[in-house]
Amino acid sequence: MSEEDEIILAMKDVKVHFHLDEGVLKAVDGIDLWIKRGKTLGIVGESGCGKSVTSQALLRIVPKPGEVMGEIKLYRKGKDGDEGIDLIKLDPRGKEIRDIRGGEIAMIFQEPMKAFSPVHTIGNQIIEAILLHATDDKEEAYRLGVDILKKVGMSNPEQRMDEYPHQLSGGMRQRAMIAMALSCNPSILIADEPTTALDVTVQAQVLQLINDLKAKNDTSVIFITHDLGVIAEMSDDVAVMYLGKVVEYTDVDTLFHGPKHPYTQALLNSIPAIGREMKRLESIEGTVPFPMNLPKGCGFYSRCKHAMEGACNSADIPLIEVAKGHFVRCLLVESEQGTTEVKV
Amino acid sequence: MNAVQEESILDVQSIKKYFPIKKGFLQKTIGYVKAVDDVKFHIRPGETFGLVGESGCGKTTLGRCILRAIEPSSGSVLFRDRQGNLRDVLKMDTKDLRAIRRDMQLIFQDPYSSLNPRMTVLSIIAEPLVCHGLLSGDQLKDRVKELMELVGLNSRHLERYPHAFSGGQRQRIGIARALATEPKFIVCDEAVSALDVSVQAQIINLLQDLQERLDLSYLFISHDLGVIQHISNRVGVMYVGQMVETASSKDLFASPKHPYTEALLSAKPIPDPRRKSNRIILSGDVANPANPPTGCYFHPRCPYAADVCRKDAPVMKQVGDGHYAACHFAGELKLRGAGSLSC
Repeated sequence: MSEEDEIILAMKDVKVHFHLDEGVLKAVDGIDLWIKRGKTLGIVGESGCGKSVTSQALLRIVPKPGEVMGEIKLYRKGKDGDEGIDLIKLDPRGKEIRDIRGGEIAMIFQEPMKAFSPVHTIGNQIIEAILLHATDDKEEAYRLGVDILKKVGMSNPEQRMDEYPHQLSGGMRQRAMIAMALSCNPSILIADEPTTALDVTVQAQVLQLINDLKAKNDTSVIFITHDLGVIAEMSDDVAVMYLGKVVEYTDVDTLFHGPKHPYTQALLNSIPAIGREMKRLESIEGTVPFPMNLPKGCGFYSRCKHAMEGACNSADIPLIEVAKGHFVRCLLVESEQGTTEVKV
Repeated sequence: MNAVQEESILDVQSIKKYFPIKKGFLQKTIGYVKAVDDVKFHIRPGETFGLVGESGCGKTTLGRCILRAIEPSSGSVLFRDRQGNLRDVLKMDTKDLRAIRRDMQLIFQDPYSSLNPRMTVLSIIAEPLVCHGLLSGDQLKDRVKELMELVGLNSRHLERYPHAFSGGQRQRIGIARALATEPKFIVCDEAVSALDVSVQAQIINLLQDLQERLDLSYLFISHDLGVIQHISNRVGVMYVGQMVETASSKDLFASPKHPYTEALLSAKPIPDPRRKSNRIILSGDVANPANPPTGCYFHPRCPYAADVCRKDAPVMKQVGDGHYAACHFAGELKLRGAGSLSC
């Protein structure tokens, strides 16, 4: 992390534990992340690795019986020397967090059809957000709503304001979702798999839109996806998650051209990418273990090709800074042995 | 019978599926959704034909029409039976159809909804064998065990229910069920789309191994170009119910001849930050198959569209060895491929 980057949000040892009858499910188990102003942090991982729960922890919308622990510091603009506020200390139903939700930190969900209310018009839903955070004047709110729809590239914004979500196509709905998220000029935008439900050509449109708006408004973006192609396209920094932990955190170029963690390497080798030779894919054997009653040591132990009995499975592995701004959670990297060059 | 037919296991000719749109009290037909509109292609034995396109382009409908899971409106599907004769699946009576279905099977997209939660793995995999009256008793059980081992499942888990398995394992159960009757041809309808990348790689490898061992032919339907390129020998690109380009996988990805293929290739994010492509961003959405535009269906989004594209529908023409494209300017336009093939 270079000095000139201004950190806008810092997560320190954040844990989200679900206390179930069967035991404690550690969905997120001690992650440290930084979000820089105007930059995109990509979070990548397979389903069940805790990437979505991490974003829910930020907004304090973790469903019951989830418990959030640790520290999430939000630093505000123009208040130098300000210690920032700890989002975890806030009451999840309190006024303060409700001002931040949708105001300072906004979110784009994966399925716009589920995130929008089907019985209210697009306009009403956007105006509601604006009235909550930006202004009390209904006419101004309407004007802002039309403006923001225009900004996200909707044709006939006035007409769209009166339409219901089901009248829009998938791509248009996602645009409306983005418009709603951006209507209050958030400083952080969380995009949780925003393009997974879209077709590639429409995905390309939406990704470009998010990048344009990010550059224009100097917004920080947290981009959550399982698609490494999208990560390469969108991110400045990337965190790879596995079983509730960050296993590798670095800038995007290093991640794709010098990954250190065996999981990252295996993940990169297992995608059938265009422009790569027709050869057998390197798959990762086995499946992601269920995040309950996990054995000690590295979560990837059971699937790792370089696993060392007695070392990898005896104690928890710390996240180590192997180069400036490059963090890896692996014993092999620590001893600088057994790291294999990834074939791309 | 021409040369193409002689060597193919499946030959689809001018297949059409129009769904009527009905309206009003009398349910009058006011129009048609042309889900599959005059598509033709063939598949050779041991070959994988990849079918790619965006959602709603008719890929799945086409796959199901071939199996006659949906009754096509017209056309013919010639399929080579066990005696080596090409027979039209669409003209078969119920009895013949039942018999030929032994040789053609389907693997579904969603491993969660395609397995009956109340059936054990044994009864799921055994069902096609029982339906066709092929095996029973201990023989049946042994065959199911053999199939489970074949797809990489532990045959001791015979009596378990689907909920006890992970997504990748469930997809393996689906594959075992499809293989039970020793088919020669399998339609894989988005068979790996619902899986995580690391598990997806396992299933793709499994499908390729099985193809080699059992001499299978696949119709592989997917929206993921990376997967399609990896697994297919030849590829067909569909847009709004029509096939717009077919070519060998290598040709299609290296030098596409249809502007839609070019846009599709450039829209796919490449997992390499150093190769940020100057991509073609198409405006607008996929055309509505109930009310398609005039002329070429792609012209409202096509950056190369000319007057002729608005008036006349293009026909499929040959632009290279086994390379066909339905574009007025196919072969004339200089289109970008997906970059170098070996890197």
